[in-house]
Formats: sequence, C-alpha cells, structure tokens
Amino acid sequence: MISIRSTSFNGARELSDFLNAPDNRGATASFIGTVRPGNDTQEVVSLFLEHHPTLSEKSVEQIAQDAGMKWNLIRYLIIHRIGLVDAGEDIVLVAATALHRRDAFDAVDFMMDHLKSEALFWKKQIMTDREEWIEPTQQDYQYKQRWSNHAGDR
Amino acid sequence: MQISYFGKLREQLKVASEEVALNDDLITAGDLRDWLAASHINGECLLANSVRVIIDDEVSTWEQNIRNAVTVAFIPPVSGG
Repeated sequence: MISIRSTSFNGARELSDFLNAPDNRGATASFIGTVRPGNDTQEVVSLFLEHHPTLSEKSVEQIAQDAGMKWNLIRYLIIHRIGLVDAGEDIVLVAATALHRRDAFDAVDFMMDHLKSEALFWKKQIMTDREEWIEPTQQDYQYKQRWSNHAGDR
Repeated sequence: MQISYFGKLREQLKVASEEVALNDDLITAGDLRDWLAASHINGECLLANSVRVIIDDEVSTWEQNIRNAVTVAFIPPVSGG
C-alpha cells in the first residue's frame, strides 16, 4: 500500500497497524525517516515537500513494483509526506514483510535508495535564517546505482 | 499549451504555470526549453543539464515532438525520502 499524505503521521503507530494485519511473514523490515532538527551550525525548522499532482504517487508505485519484481514480498507499506513537515516529524515510512529476512531487508533498502533520488518530490530545507532546495548527493546516486546489477532473490 | 515549473525552477522563474501559444518553429521539447529560457528573467536555469522534461505526464527527452502536447513540465533533480 502507498499513501502520500499532507498531514502528520506517526511512523511507529503506522508500522504497528501494518503489522496487526495477519500474514504468513517470517520477517519484517522497516525504515522511518524523520526530519532532523539540524546540527550545531544550522537549525532546521521544517522541510517543504513539493509534489507533482499525478506523477509523484506513480513514481512511488513504480519503485514498489520494481522491488516486488526483485524480491519475494508478502506486503509492503510506503507512507510519504508532502507539504510542510516540521523538524521532529516523520517524513517517510517504508516497511515490507517477507518469508525470509534478506528479501525484507533488501527490498526496504532498495525502495529507500530509489525514493531518495527517483521519486518525483522536491525538497526544500527551511532554516531559521534561510531556505535551500535539497538535491540528491553523489552518495545518494551511488547508493541507488549499487542496485542496478542486483538481480534480487526471486 | 500548459507549462509548469517545479521546485527551485518555479522559484527562480517566479511562475508556477503559464499558458503559451506555440510558434511554428518550436517543434521539440528542446526548442521549447530554449525559447522559454530566452523569454524569462532567470530563464537560463532551464538550460541546466540536470533539468528534465515531462510531456503529458510522461518523463520525456528533449528530442520529443511537442506539437500535439497538452502539458509540459520542467523539473529539477528530484529528492524524496
């Protein structure tokens, strides 16, 4: 299931709800991304997530489909925020259940790497004294690239 | 034709979307980009290598013919998660 939301969500609670549904899983992997409040030199007030009215959700669906082609997943959940997300709020949740741990681990890792540099969102960091658009780093692209020759475990 | 700009392009051009009538010499998405870049203050931001084009809700190439397109969007690098 995929959910693009303009309102706050609690990643831990959503994960708990996701796991309350019975399936024959032997493994669950999950990732919750939270807006960092910054560091010693800059204070992040919030992130602004801009989206495309039709293609943002489609791009997330494509990433989930690609993961489902590579690994044996039973169920998955992706929640992604749009709009203004304050520091401390959850911005993304990716979870997957599978029979075996490697499928769940790798699928969640794959989906996060692709959400970072392929999903159609645009992210602006709002600090106390300035704003700046965030683009994927070289490392983000390298993280995604490492999956290009990964056949998965299906 | 409806043109949209996303992310930092929207801010740099100070416009989110606009209607344009195509001149006869604008055939490809690249032609349109060059024309818009010359038409807007700060239009050179559209010429960055990292900018991509979406034609009728499909990520496309600069060589794509846009004569029958309804919507064209210009997007900077994406960043979710």
